[in-house]
This record gives sequence, structure tokens and C-alpha cells, in this order.
Amino acid sequence: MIRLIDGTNSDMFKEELDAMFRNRALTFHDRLGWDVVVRDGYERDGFDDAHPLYLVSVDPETNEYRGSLRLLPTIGPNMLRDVFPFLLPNGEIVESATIWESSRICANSMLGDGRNPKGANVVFGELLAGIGEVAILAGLTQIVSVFDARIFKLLRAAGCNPTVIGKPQRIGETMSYAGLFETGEGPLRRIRDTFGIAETVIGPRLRTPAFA
Amino acid sequence: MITNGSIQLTEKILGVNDVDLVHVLKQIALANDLKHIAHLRFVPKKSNELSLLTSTVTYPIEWQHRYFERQYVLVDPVVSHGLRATLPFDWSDFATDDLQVHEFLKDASRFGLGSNGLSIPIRARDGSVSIVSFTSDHSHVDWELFKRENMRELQILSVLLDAAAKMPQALRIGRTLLSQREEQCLIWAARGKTYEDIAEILEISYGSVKRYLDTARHKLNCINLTHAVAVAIATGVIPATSVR
Repeated sequence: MIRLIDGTNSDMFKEELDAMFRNRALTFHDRLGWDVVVRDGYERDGFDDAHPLYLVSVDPETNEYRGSLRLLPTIGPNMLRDVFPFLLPNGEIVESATIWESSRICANSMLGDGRNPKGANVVFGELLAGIGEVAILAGLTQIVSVFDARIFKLLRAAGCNPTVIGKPQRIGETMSYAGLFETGEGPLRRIRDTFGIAETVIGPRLRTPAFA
Repeated sequence: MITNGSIQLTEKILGVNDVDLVHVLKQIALANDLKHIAHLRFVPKKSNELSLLTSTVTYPIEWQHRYFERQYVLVDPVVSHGLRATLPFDWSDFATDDLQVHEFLKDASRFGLGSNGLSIPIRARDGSVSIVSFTSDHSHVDWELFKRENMRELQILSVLLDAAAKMPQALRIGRTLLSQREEQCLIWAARGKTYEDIAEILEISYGSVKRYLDTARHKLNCINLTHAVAVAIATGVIPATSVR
């Protein structure tokens, strides 16, 4: 089940967010050795202060954290524009009200240890289907993302074929790609079919107490 | 369908038509079966809080006065929610267990602001936050349908409106600079080619064509591709001779 978390309900999902920032530290710093800053066990950067929307996968029964990603509108600060602009030629910029950027996708590496035989792949599928649903909710036409060879492999295996834009480049140990994903009912159906998802993955939206 | 009336926003941004923004919003609302449209823009203060900088709304003047006198900006859930939201949100999502909010909504309902409301937060790179709201008197079913069918254009319209509302402060924008690919795609679109045609001609992917035409549309401050082509030719961003 996917929780949609932004500034309006982050107070209600403190544990989920805590697990997410720790999982990000584990994944991107410890495991993949990316050049990211970890403080107090959290991997957090400036884009986390730019009002992102988080998609957090939790176990529907135990509410345990399983995986997450971050969406940023491209009319504001985003990673392709502000960190990886060299992936696009000639100062090209991806900026539109209807294109959002996905980043920091990761899953709890403890998955697939027997407690959850289907493992991380299920979480990956759920996150992709979640992006598809959010795109429809928010009227988005495309999703842009910078990803490495490892994620590219997972995406292709998921039948999710991004359009690679610009020139892939070696960053650190791995090749990095900028890619575009189509949105809409068609692409969402394909993701659902691939992962055997029958219905919405987005959990009930808890009402936010409006406060003065 | 939201395209009706939005052309004037583009003209305002381009500086070719200094029409009153409230008047434009009233026309857009009328043409699209909406009751009201409102744009509130906040800028960060030194204290890290945000303060209301400008408001451009079609609400009745009596409500605007009341809103100001009672300092409703401190109570309005559209504001408290909108300043923290990323996703568009429906006003029916507000919990009304807060007494102040409850009283506010009750008071507002006497001014005919519309029975449905949807707000879209727009965060620009300059640190300002705007909340663009649309209200209507659709039935619940029709409203859900309206939102689903028009969300894409409402997002685009919100960004256009935000740009138009900033115009008086902004310097006249210079000539729009398209990237080479954006220009090529736009010229072929002006010649009546489809996304598929253009992808084949330029030997790039369908997704890239879609993106170049969308980012070009965004740079030209237009609601859709057809309008972007017209504005690009009218302003000389693509030479008129190139489309013959």
C-alpha cells in the first residue's frame, strides 16, 4: 500500500518518513556508495526541503516500511536541472507544469528474506503503479528521472521502457541516465499487468486536520 | 476546454495586452462553467514564514472586504493547507473539527463562492508560493468528472496565471529562447505533423517529441500546442517562412 506524504500530512507519518530517510542512507550511502550526506542516520538533501511528494510503500497489515521515492515538480528545484544538468545537451532544460521528477527510489533490503517471499520486486511494482496513479491525479503528462544502470535493468524487466534523453554518463561507479516515462491509463495498465496489481495501490487518504 | 479565455493570460505575459487580470479570470470562469478563480501569492519573509503578497480573485467584493477585515488569511484552510501541499487538493478534504475553520467555512458559504473547490499549489524557483483555486456549483458527480478531465489543463492554467500575476513586477521578458530541438519540433508541428511524424522525421523518440513540444509550450506561456505554434510565429520565435 502506498502512502502519499507531503507537507500537509507529514506529521501523521513520522515513523514512515523516519524509516524512509534511514533506508535512503543504507541504500545510497552504505550500499551503493553514492556521494550523499548522511547525518544522524538520515540521508537527506536540499530537495527534501523543496516540498516534495513522497510515495512510501508500507505493509498493509503491519504498516511496516517497505520502500519509497520522491516526486518534485519540474517548475521548481529538481535534480536533473540543479545537480545533473550535464546529462542534457546544450543547456536543455526539462521544465513544465505537467512533468514531475522522480528520485531516490529504494526498497528495504530486508524484504525477500522469507517473511515476504515476493520481495523487493513487489514493492518496486507498487511504487511504479503509485507514480502512475499520482500522474493521473495531478494531470501529469510525463515523469522525468535520473537513474543508474541498476534501476534501468529493473525498469526494463518491469516492461517500463523509458525514453533515454541526452547522453548517459559515468557518475562514480555507474552509468547514469536521464529518462522520460509516459503517463496515463495505458502505461498504468501495463505496469499493473506486469506486477499483477488489480486495483489502486494508494491507501485511504487520511483527512488532515486543517489548522489555523 | 479550459483553453477558453486563457489566450489573454499569454498576451498579458507577453506584454501585448494589458487587460485587467480579474476581468480575464472572470471570462475564463464563465467560459468553463466555473464559479470563481483565485490566485494568492506568498513570499518568504526573513523569519522563514510566508506572507501574502498579492491576491487576484473573482470573489464578490463584500467577501474580499470581510476576508481582509477579519484577517481570514490566518484561518483559511485553503491557505494553511496550500502552503504545505504538493498535490492539488479538493476543499471537501478539509476536516471541519476545528471551530475557527468551521466558522470560517460557514461564513464563506453565505457569499456564494461555489459549492466545490479545488486548489493547486505552484512553487516557483524564486521561492514564492502561489495557491490557485477554482470553484464551481457542479453536482458532486459532475465535479469529479470535471476535475478528472481537466486536471492537466488546470495545472497549466495555474502556472500561466501565476506568471501573468507576476507581470507588473517582472521586467518585460526577453525573446523566448527555444532549444534547437524544441524549435525543430515546433516548426514541424506548425506544418501540421503529428508527434509520430515528427519523431520519424527527426529520428528521435515519440517521448522526446512530446517533451520538446511541452517544454516549448511552457516557455511560450501557452495553454496548449496549437496556441504555442501561433504565439511562436506571431512573436518571431520561429520564422514565419519556416512553416510555408
